[in-house]
Amino acid sequence: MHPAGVDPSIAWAVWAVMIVGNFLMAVIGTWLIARGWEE
Amino acid sequence: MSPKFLSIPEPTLGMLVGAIIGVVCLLAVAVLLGAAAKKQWKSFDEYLVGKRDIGPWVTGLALTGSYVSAWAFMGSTGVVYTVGFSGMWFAGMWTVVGIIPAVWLAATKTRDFALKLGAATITETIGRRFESKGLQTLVAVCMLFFLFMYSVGQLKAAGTVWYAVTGLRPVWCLLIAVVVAWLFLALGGYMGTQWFIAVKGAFLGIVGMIIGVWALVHVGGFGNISQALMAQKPNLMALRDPTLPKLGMTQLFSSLVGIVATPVIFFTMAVGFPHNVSRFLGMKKLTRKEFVTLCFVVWLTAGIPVMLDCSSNGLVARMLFGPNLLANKQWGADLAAPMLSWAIGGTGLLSVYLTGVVGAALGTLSAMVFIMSANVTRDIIKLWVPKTSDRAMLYLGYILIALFLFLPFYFTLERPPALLAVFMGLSAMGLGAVFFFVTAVSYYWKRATRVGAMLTVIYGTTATLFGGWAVLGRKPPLLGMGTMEWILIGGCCILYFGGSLISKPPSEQLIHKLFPARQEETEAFTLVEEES
Repeated sequence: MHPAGVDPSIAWAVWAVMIVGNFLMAVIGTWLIARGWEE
Repeated sequence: MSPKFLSIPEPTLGMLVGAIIGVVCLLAVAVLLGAAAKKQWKSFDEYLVGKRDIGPWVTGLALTGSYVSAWAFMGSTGVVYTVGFSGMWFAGMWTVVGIIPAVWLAATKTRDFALKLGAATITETIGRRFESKGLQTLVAVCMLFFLFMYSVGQLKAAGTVWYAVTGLRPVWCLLIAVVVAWLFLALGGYMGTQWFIAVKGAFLGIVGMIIGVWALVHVGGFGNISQALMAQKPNLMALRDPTLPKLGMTQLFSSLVGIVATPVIFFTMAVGFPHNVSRFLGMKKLTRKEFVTLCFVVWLTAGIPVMLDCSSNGLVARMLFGPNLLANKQWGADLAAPMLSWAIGGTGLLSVYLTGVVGAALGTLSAMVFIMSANVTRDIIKLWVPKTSDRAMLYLGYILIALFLFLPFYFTLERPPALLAVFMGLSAMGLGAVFFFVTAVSYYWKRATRVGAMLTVIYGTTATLFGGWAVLGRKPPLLGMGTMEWILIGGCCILYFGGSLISKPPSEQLIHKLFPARQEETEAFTLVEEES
């Protein structure tokens, strides 16, 4: 049993969301800017 | 010291030899790059900014090298080691959020504005963007002030690891390192700095990735870390630790106000830091494919490695060493990252890590010192006394570089004055808050005026001084660091936009030059490129 309010699986889930979110943010943001690129 | 956990090892001959080999290799590369870059410039302008032909790989790696300081590489691991998961918000997560937007928002705009305005430094770009010599001087002084405070702490991490690994005082290692830094800055100018920082960025990316993944595998993955830390102290696995004080720096780990402030802190720092944005001054005009490459390089080297180094490494170090490192009164949690590399990879990985930290310190310091020197030569003296010869500027620059390298070296060995130590803690936040608006937002908002920019610079500097006292200097603290960030960024935002809206707009000529319609822009660029 974990003490109230501390659940390591939630902490790691947030950590994973941050890594995946950062990757998606980088891909989507770069793609959006590259789409409108004027050569 | 608890016998259940690993203890700090005594320095061995192997550690000493490994440390010396690593640092000597790093410094040899720096000198070679400086000598090679000497052939790349022929005038003072080229010394300051190169030929504006640097590609996306070198630019991207240099941005990583400039942003990932020795603190990011080492100190942040110590934060997570000390407070656990709640420290990850500050130490790792949002570092990643900041750096990619810096490329999106500032890369091409910095290059384009500087080229159109004929500027060789960020300060000169700002001065000409706002058609104000007074503002350029104010920005030069302000930047000098912030960068000086920020640079003072840069060598400390390198000195700490050197001492911990070799048992020798870091005086000779750091003295040789700053002499080498002077050599490549004086010889290679902007190009030499850019190349060295790029090599360092690539090295940090690789080392960060290796240690981060290796550490997770070594301890058997996330489940084992959770189990071990829950057994030590359950709050180490809490996303927010309400038992920590809600004032002072720990507000960033204990309160929502502090946690929500962290992305703002890192976003404005990454986009606003002059030594980051300066990496784009010498960049070539990018094609679409090159822009994507630039983003990929930065993400690959600064994204995942920093994330792992700053966050999960701190937890693994806590798992292996328990609270034992905190018992060391001299270095404490700063030893978390180097000791982790020793624990998982022995003397070899420790030597590689030490080389990385010395490189990190030297690279970020060099980027800042080069700007500080140009702040005096190009942005103050040349601005007001245009007849000063380029040769005189160059020689004065060499002297200033030596001075600005020596002072951080001195304060690493001798304790910095208490007041300076207090303001150092807030200088990065202030630098980010002021220059996020004055540089990055001014690229996009054509209505921004010199009045708005001046008010932002003055307020940001004053608020940073107040924050240093209120958050770090006063015992007990008056404010939390997160609250201070909101005060800083909110005030800068109101004064920048408010001051601009109530003052006379920029001249039509300037607007036309910097913010032309698309077709005009293409024509203007063709003209500028042909002229240059």
